[in-house]
Amino acid sequence: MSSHREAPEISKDPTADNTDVYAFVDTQDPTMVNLIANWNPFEVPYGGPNFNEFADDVLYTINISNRGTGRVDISYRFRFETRIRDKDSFLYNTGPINSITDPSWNRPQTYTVTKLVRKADGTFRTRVLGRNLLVPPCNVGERSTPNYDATYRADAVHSLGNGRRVFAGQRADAFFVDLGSVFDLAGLRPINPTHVIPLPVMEGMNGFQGLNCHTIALQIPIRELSASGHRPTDKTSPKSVIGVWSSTFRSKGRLYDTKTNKYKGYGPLVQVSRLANPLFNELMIPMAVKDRWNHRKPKDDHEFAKYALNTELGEKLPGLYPNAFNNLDAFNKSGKKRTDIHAIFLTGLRARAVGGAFTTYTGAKEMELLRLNLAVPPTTAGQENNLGVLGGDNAGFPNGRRVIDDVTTIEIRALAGATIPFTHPDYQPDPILATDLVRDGTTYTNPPLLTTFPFLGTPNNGYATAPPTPSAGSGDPVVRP
Amino acid sequence: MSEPVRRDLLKVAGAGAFAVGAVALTPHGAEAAPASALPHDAHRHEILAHVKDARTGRITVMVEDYEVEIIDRALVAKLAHAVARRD
Repeated sequence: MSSHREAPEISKDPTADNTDVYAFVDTQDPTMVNLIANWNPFEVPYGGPNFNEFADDVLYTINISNRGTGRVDISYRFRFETRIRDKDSFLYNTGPINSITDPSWNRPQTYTVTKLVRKADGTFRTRVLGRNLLVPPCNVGERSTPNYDATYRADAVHSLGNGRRVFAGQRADAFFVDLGSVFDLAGLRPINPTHVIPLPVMEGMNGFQGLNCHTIALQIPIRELSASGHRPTDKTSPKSVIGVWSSTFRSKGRLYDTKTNKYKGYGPLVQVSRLANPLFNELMIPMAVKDRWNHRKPKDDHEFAKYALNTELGEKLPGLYPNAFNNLDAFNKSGKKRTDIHAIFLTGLRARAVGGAFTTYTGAKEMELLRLNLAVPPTTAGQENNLGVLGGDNAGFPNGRRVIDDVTTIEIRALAGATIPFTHPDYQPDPILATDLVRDGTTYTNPPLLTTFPFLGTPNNGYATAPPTPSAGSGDPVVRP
Repeated sequence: MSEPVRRDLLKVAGAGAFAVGAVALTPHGAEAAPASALPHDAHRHEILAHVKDARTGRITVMVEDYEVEIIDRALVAKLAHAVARRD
């Protein structure tokens, strides 16, 4: 739901569907930045016989804008190649996969990483950072992929030189949200009784529990990402801020080749998916425009600014939860714009909005980017507040995004008015926002996150993951003979 | 990032052959070779041609990772007739 199946067309193309982007300064080495992008939403661990993988005909990218233009200044590009070792077997693996190079893995995948850097004349300097890098197998089960992380993780993290590291492969989905309730008319189970269609209070259920994704993770020196070539130190300077996003490309033309029984691409690459901040396309862009948003570039986001200035969910919350959001209701009816939401997502926050502590402001140009201030030091591991800036932790979302940040709760509260004071200092958020009730009621419930690269947890194991529980009391009863 | 390459080759003579080179950026208005004379490496590439609106005479021709656009009303007419329904 961060951006899982968020647009009609991309929902039919999971291998090209961006799901999450993270960008944060490393807590163990603050001279480094971690950039993580995920694909393949709702990846079921027991998805044999053809387990999920990156697509060979998709270009995956992680991009940086460091000059405030919304254009690509630096791009890391990933191309994958899959082969079948034993074409006479239907099996993903013909025996236990005891190492990342074990020949019993019948469908190994490798990749190439290329870095593009924009030159002064607008063209790009290109350099291949790594070729034939190994992707680990999917976590099939106890017999096929025993002791998963111990067996594969170290060999799946590759050096790209100059202090850079890269990983690409299956991991547990780090996002968490009560999908079933949130998309059931914006239900928040902790405040169920106050909904216009009331239900009993209960804790939320993480819709991503037991699910995986495919992750590309990079660890890059800060000096390589900043426009100055140095590690910034001024937390209040826009020059300390980079914009991060991920995008996916396919060939413009595709034909099904009846000889190879595969699709073949023709023509230039076109962008079919992109993602920066979590939930922007998901929650703010109308359904009829979502696919267009996926195709457009951040530099052209002025077109979408109106959806941040007038948020549909923010306008509907008072009606969905009568008497819970009276101040928000009054704000909406006053005709004032959600310049706080506009700032968070499209321009960044000026220092004065957050008490002068730091900025994520990159200028007036509207660009939907995940902004990270490279001069803000990371919060000590174990002391983070997963509500990020809203929780008083300036190293968290929306100053970049860490894997532990509860972006669903942050954004629900933001849309409910908690961030209106960023740009309207006289606004008083509704009292309910001073409680802990306005949230979806979930926490992260997948395998433990790692404290080191690549940070996402061990992928859920196909053998050990139980299928979902059927819902009770829905539909017609089954008549059994 | 490869940008879409568009080149109006304007009207192409005769049967509507067009020039597709390994390097997409050729000068505007380059003449097309006669239909019978294929480029020397034409056999190496599969070509995908797309006519979005036959009335314009425009054909988007895609090969490898780039595309060119030509205008050839005669060729478009031939293509349209080839796929016209047979009642």
